[in-house]
Amino acid sequence: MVILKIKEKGYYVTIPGITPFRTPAEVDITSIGLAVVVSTLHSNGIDKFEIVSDIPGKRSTFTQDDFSIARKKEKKDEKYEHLTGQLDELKELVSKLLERNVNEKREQIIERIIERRSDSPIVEEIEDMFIPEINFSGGKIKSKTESISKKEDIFDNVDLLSKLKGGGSRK
Amino acid sequence: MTDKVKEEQATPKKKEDAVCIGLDCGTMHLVCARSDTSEFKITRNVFLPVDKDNVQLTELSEISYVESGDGDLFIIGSDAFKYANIFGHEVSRPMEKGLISPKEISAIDVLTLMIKDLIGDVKEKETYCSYSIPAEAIDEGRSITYHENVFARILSNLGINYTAVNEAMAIIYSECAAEKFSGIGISFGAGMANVAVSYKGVEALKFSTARAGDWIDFNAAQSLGMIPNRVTSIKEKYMKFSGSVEVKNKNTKRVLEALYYYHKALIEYTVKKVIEEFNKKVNIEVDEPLPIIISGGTSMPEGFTELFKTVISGQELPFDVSEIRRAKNPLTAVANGLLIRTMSDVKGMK
Repeated sequence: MVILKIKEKGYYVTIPGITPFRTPAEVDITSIGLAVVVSTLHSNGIDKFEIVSDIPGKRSTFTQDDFSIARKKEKKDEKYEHLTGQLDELKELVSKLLERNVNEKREQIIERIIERRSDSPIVEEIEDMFIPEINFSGGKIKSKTESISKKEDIFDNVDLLSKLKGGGSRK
Repeated sequence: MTDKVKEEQATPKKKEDAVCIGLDCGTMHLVCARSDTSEFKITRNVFLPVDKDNVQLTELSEISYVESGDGDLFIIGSDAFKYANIFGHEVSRPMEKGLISPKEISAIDVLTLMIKDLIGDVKEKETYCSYSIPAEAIDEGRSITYHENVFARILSNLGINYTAVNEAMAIIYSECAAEKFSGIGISFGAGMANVAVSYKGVEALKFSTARAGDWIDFNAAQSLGMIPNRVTSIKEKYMKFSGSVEVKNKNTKRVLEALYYYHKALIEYTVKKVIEEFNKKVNIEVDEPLPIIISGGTSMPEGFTELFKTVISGQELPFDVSEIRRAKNPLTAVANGLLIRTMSDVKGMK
């Protein structure tokens, strides 16, 4: 005889071939295939159970661990791995920067990160692939541009704008 | 990337020795101001392809030209305009409606050489440049991204650190120091009319419309069955809105009449858009009257500012106006403002 034991309370279990029952329960499942029992239990969300057998020459007790569903082998997604790798790298970079310069301004930190990221050779390669080269040495130019003299002194404007903007936005 | 700094760092050198540049990339004119020279350099942003088999280089001794790396020949600048008028051809223009022209993508090489020539020698110098870009047009769907990046690429190839700055804001930098950079700058260029509202140096509103000088020339030419080049030539030679116009030729008078109507229509349209955009987008309370600065090549004819004042006087404005004045030099105001911006930025770096 093979007995299914479920100690956890509150489940209403319907296994094909036997009368539905409520847990906790001990039911005879000798006439039913083990695979059917286990898959029904899993589909009902029951993951703690015990199956006891008294058939001579066979293993007597099984638990849920003996029937754990074999997980499918996850396919390695290269793009996903690449992205998560970059994300980890970025996380590391941010934490290093934060550790090193607690008092550094947020903007400066972001700027540094952007600078580091923009060093990425991938971007350069892509740009070079399709942006036409500008060749200054290939062409000749002969021109007579018109000139107009600058009449006024602009240094006052420069000073005032600097003060208003509170320093330049260039490095 | 308007006003968003996008720079390429060259080898660090002393900032004190840095050369600052303001480069106005206009549809009709390219204007350059350098901190180490006392003059603006200007060239017309037009060219005329020439069949090399029909022309000897010695014949071109007195005119400006570009010979591309592929051996193609182009007359450039004012000379292109003159020759096109003589032969009844349309000049080719690298830019249209304020942006790189989709019809003349191959002209980027010619444009590049013109800019290189205009800027002059910057070898071995730490150089910083602010170049002008229009705001997105509210009446046309074209994006400014391609235009902005092409100019960035040209400057980067020349080894220059660059920043894109809105054209109308450059007018404020040039002309509104007395008002602490508060004001409304309107640049009536060839391809676009650009507008910026600035409050104490901070941009509160910017937009552009695709109606400007070319729109006037095209429509006047269409109305009279002429080529736009010819209309432009008459406009630049005779057009004025005040005083007496000394023209006897009846056909020329007809052109000037058409030009007047379209100038007025352009101003009316722009003022209407300024009011609409201000009402829609400006949320700050402007508690002081703002000056309006009129600039750009299209505002060059005598009396243009007076015509503008007449048109705006019939409108109810959502802001108080302290004064309507023309930029000291409408052709160089943008380059001047850009130079001020570059020098101010570089000063802040020291």
